Amino acid sequence: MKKWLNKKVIYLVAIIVIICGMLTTFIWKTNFSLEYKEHADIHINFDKVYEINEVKALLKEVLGNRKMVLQKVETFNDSILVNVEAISDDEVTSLENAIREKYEIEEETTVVEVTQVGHVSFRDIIKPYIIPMALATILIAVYFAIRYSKLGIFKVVFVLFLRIIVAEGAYLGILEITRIPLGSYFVPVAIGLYVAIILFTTICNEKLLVNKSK
Amino acid sequence: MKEKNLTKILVILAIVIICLISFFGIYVRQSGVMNNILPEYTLSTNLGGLRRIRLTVSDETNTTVYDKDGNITEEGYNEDGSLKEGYTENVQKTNSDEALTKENYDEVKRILDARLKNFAVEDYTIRKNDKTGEFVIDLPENSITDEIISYLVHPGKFTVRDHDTSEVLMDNSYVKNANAVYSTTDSGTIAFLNIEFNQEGKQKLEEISKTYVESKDEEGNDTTKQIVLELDDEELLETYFSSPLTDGILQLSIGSQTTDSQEFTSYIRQAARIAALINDKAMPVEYELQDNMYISSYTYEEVALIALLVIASIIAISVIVYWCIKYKMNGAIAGLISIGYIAVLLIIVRYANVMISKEGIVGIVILLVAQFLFLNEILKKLIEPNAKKEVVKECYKKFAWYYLPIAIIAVVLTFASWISAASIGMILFWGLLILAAYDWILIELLLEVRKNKNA
Repeated sequence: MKKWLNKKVIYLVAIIVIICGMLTTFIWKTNFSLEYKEHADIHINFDKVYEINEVKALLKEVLGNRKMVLQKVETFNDSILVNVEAISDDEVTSLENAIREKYEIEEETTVVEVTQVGHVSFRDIIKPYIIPMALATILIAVYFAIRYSKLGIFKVVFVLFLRIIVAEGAYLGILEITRIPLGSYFVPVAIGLYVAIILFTTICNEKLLVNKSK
Repeated sequence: MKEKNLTKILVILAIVIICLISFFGIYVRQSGVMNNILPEYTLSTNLGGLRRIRLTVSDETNTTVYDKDGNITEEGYNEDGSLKEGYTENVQKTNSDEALTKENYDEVKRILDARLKNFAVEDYTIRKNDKTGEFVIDLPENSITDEIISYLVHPGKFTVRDHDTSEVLMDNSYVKNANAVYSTTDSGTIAFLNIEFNQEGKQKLEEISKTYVESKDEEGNDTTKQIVLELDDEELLETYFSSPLTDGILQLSIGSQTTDSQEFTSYIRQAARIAALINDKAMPVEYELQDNMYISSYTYEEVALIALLVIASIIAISVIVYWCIKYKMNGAIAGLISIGYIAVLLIIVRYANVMISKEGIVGIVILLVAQFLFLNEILKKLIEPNAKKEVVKECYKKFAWYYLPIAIIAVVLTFASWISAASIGMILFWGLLILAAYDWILIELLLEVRKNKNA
């Protein structure tokens, strides 16, 4: 009775999280990380080898504490790509002047180039995984139906799908509610969670099967 | 007993050596420099480097000059660059203002996506700017990246024109399917671009093949009407037909007949790339390649990944310490077996050329958890009262059922065309294989039944 109540509470909490997550998405939209949302790419060409800590200090001076992602460009350590949500023309000029002064770059050389980069759609992020994951789930459901037929085919398959949907939904819901930016870790963690749910369900079914045999 | 202990010591030493090799490498002097002879890890675009290109909407203009009679001419300008008297010119934008719509940008994105799939690119990201129509595309860095990029920016406009009047007789909409085929004879192999037309195209091709045939007038002058096959205004072939084509299939040879395999590969690849362009609609908006640069991924800000690795390491160390306290010698040996397991897995991953992605790292964490659960069960069983070594077999049987669904996931994902999905599939596949073989040998050799004094 107590176990069943615990399960009920877990599902209830998960469903509340999913509903709250959906409402949050509806009101504020998904908070994507810089790499997925529309942002500005600032390509800085130093014309000589740069020191990353100096660059970070310069960027902080001009752009403040706003979120930015730094990427190394090419292999010569003389240019860098900075992703920020937005940058004004004045900030571009300030950044350019600061870098020219610090690295003594000639006037003719282009130092800062800003490009507006579009977004990546959520559908595009998850699309490549849908068919393989769906196929794996169907095969596992078939395996469950055969292996755990004594526990009730419909029940084991239903519980499998329910747990996957609720767990993944709750994961997305937590991200939406907490406004944690959805970035490149999203799919790996979702797959990890999927495997964990499959493993957990398998262990539960095996234990039930052993108990039933006894 | 002494012999058994010696075997144990040797096996433990072997595990330590494997760990050292896997985590630090094998360094040998090559041309005066110490080099690690273990193969490098292959990293996916979300961990290693990537190529980033930026496609911007073309703002080029096309100028057509007409002579006094209204015919198109290429000699309409004086030496000083001014237009000849009586001649007119028509300046047209490559992309009309009406073409620059969100719907067309969406269509271009769909075409780019389809092309990348056709080019067998297994890991890419397309970013679209709805306002400007610009695309920023991340591609894996390899030997064919430049070739892929060169085909990606093509509008893919396939036309069959009348040689004399430039009238468009057929275009992409008549094509049902295009693919690359080859034919081999004693003197070598030749690559073909095989274009299969749809029902409408089939009828049109038959009609064309009856019209554009070799002919001479009464005076014996050649009056053969010819067609020109073009891709993005570049001529692929100029030809006429010797007999009517009724099957709706047109084959164009790409390159020449060759016995050199590398040369042939380049021809067949070229044919496949052109086929991928022809297979879809032409892009409704023309693009220019603006930026093309190599980016070393997220080198400086990889907080999430580092955090995951640190947390996983702390948990792993805590589990091993717990084992050492609770199961004493067996616990310490199980800890060493677990570390050795990751070491062996990382060596296999290198030699099997498995691409490591963020998903793959999650796969390694899953395997480590699977290993801990398995060893923990064995350690627990080995200290039970009346425990026998046979409990290991029972644990194996039990955990084989537990891990079978993970094996299903591993096999399915291994065959996924998307490299990040395949990465976790391959790592799980190799990891489970090693778990079965490596653990079996070492548990048999190293772990003993040790009755818990408190039990």
